[in-house]
Amino acid sequence: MIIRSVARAGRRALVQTSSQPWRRFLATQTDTIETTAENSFKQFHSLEAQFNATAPPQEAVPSFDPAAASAPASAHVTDSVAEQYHRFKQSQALIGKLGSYITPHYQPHTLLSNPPSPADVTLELLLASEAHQGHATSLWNPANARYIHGIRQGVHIISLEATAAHLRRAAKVVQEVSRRGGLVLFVGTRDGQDRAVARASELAKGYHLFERWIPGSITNGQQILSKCRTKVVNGKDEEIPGFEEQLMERPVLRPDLVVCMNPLENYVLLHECALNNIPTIGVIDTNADPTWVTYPIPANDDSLRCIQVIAGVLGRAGEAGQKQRLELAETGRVTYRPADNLVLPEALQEKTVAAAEPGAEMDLDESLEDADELADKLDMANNREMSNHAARAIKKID
Amino acid sequence: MIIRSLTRRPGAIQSLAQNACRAPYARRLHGVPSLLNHDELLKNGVPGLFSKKQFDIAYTQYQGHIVESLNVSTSGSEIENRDAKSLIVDCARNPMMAYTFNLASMAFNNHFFFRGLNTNPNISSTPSADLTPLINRSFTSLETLQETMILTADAMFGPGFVWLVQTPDAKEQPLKLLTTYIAGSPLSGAHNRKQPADLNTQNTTSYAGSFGAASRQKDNKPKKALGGVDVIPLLCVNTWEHVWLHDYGVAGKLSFLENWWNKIDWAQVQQNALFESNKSPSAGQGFRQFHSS
Repeated sequence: MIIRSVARAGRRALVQTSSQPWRRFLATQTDTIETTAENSFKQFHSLEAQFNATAPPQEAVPSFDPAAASAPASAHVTDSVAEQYHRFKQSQALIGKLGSYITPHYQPHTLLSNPPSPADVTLELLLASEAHQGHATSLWNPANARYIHGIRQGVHIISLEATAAHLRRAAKVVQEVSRRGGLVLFVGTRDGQDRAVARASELAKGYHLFERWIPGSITNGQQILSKCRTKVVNGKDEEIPGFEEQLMERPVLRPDLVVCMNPLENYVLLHECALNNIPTIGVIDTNADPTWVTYPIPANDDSLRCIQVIAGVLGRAGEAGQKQRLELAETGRVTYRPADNLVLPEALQEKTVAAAEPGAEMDLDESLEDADELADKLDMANNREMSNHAARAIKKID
Repeated sequence: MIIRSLTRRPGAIQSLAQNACRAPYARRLHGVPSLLNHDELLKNGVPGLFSKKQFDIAYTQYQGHIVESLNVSTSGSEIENRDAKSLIVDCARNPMMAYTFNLASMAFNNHFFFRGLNTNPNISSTPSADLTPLINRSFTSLETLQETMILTADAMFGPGFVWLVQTPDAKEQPLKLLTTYIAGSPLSGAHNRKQPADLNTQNTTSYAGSFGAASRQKDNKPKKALGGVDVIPLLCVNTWEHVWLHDYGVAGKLSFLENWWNKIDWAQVQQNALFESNKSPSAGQGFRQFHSS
């Protein structure tokens, strides 16, 4: 709405807001130009006085500033982007859900961003994730007969009670290994399994592999993995510097538990684990061999949704175990046997000698604990190299 | 012109029917949202504003119709489970999605209107202490705001909404009145479908105000960040005829608007508004808040 300027005598128009109604003064007689201008000028002054009286005194009417107009507006943008985002988030919380009520439904990204925990595993969830779909009956491995519920449309249907029970058992294994500071390796080398496997290892503070397993990484680890960096950490997972020389003489690390999403393509990995007494968990389809793994989970390994559910559940179990371990570490208790044959470096030793008089006992315990933790913790760092091949694809971690 | 050619397409009606047939067993994802004291509203309407039948027409039937139409038009497509606000922002610029925009915008606006009503007969609502200085700075008084808003709504010929919005970037006038005709939306992301004026009464060929130094003042405003919020809706009144026709009659628009003013829930307006105290103190400190929210 265009507001008519009150003074027509060439004065700059008072900047008005459109919502303020102003009345126009109309003259009924024709005057000379000079008297008209004078009258308008008087009216302008009286109105200005009225306006100033009613308007709050501290408010300044903004005027056109050529200097500010020529200044780049982009500077304002960068300063206010964070503020705008915050405002957007607030606005979304207030009015984001208005209009209609959306019934709860499957949202694929939530399986990765917020995976289910072992307590959330229900037969309905497994059915919706197509965990029951087996392969054609002619392709089965008879060793899986105990997990099969029946046949429908020429395919074997896996019993979801068996799936749920085995998944809960596997979750307990992962949780307990994590609680005791073990190294868990999540493996999923098929297309599309990378995100699930990386997310599971992120939750469980473990390691992941989604590209080809290099044969011999365990049996010939000294050759293949020798160049990888290892580190020494204390009970709270903080790195202790100064052990570089001692680390160079130590053997290469191995995982304490391997979780495999596609055992059919990873026979070599599972065989190496078996040769070295490393327990394995695997998703066993109706055509897979359940004896390849220590703890089979009979489920559909061809469905990404099913793999995301299983990896999510095991990741959550590992997260719970890590939480328990770190809570105990806060109180000074360590849940595993620390590494042996590790000597505190000179610097640390001097410190403990200097502080020996007041708290000798305490320091001794500390040094024992540190020394004990090292061997097991070395595995954690060494396993980084296993994911180094995949490090190109995924950055993340910590 | 575009709308006309779409409806005259031979396959237009058929495709709608096909949509409904294509997903006959599809779950109806959109439902009518429930209001505060919804059971009492169904039994007695809004005391002092709507009778039981009028509330049934204006909310239950109309919102149900819009929501069901949303279901039919979106189910089976990739936008089937999007909420109304994101549909508004995404479909605003796309003329092929104009129908979906209209439905989402009407669902949003109607729900916003009914949520802003004070449905408790025992409470008489007044603007809070935080809100009163903003009203006085923008409209000089609450009575002026009332008069302006009601008269603007009465003067609007045809269906629409009148909004009281907060513009936090404008320090001299923090609150503004905004009219949206038919199914226009006040949201920042849908500004090209704001529909603030009746185009039949505007002179679109006029060059008035396009020349001179004053016309270049627009560049003085800081640029809004993409997705930013420069308009925060606080309050609205629904002037569509079906909202007041049954109780007030064809000539009763003004009395409906006067009754509506007494039934505003100012506590809801206070909640909708953005105050300095709510904001994060600085960009650095606010960063952590984003991760938690």
